[in-house]
Amino acid sequence: MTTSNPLVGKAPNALARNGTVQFLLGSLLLIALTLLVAELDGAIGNLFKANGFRNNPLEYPLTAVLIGLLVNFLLRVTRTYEAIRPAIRTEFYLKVGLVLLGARISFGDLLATGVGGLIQALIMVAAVFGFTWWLGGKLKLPDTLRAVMATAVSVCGVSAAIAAAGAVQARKEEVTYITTLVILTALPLMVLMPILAGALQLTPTVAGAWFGGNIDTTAAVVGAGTIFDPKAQEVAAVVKLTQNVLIGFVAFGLAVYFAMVVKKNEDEPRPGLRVIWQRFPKFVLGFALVSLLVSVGLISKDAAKVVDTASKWLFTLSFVCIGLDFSLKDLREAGWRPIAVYMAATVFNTIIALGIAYVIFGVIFPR
Amino acid sequence: MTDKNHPPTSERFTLNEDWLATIIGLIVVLVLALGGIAAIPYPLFNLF
Repeated sequence: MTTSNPLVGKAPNALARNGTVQFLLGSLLLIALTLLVAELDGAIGNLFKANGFRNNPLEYPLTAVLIGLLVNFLLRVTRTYEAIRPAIRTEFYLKVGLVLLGARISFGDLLATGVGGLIQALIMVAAVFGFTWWLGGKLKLPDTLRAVMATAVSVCGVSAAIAAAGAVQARKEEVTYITTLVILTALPLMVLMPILAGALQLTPTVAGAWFGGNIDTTAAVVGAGTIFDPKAQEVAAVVKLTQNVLIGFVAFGLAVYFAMVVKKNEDEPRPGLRVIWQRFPKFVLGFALVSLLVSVGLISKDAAKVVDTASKWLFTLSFVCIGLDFSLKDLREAGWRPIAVYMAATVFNTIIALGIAYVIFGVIFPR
Repeated sequence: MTDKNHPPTSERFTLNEDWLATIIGLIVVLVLALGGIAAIPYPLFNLF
């Protein structure tokens, strides 16, 4: 069965106008849903307090994702999903929120956590990328698919998958497929890892480093940190951002490898070092700049608190979008082997990240 | 060349998206910090 596309046959201006209307409609819906999450979260928190609980176990990231999933389902059932799709920009809202999060983290802490995070990221990316690439080869996945998968699972989820796909010229379907797997695994991890960290009695710093080193998508990393502890959220965000910075180097390495080994007979231009800068996540610079401005006193502590609150609004928007963006449709055609490799890589990542986070942030740089 | 063989079109957007997020983030910080806004004006939003 096919569905008719209402945009087919319209002039370019009409298409652009339609896209703008959809974006505005979607933005209104997103704002309404974010306010709904705030109200619901407040009400749920009060309910737990009235029943003798000190903390709300259903933290706002989870409430936001659940609301997003519910509305996603309703929009798809009523076939109105496409009418708001242009406004669903999970990564964009998250990146703006991360720039604002810089207001909460002193520049000294940022550097201190960043050093440990960089050591952890180098070990994690090498180990997890190597394992996923090797296992993907054993199960005979196409080179492009295992390159995209290994980068996504070892570096930073969706944005890494897109960068790797550009470097190795993967097919669109492979990126969509990996993106679905990233979100499919990140959602349960966002909820389960804080519970496990509590059961293992990890310190907020070690727990944050574990979340940042393991969960693939940055939004879910921030979500898990938020659920566990404010300090864990800070460490998780810094560790993940440090890992994000490596994407340029991984994309460059992949581009060189594919040009010289995998596709050496094809008439393609050789990749240059500028790939590293092209892929560098520039919002990390904004994050560091805001942290520096607060640390040197150019932004007052009171103003920093307001900026921090604004970052939580944007994170909520991003969490709602995670739920709205989710779709299982693309998994059906891919078969079991890529799923098996991805799940095995996630388990491997979880175990190794726990050990490395504990050694680096619990033993070498205890804080 | 078929559509399937093209690299993802969103690749180009992502690069711009990073800068856009950075610029918007810095503008929000400047507006909130220099504008002397003491609180986000939404009284019920007290969970954060």
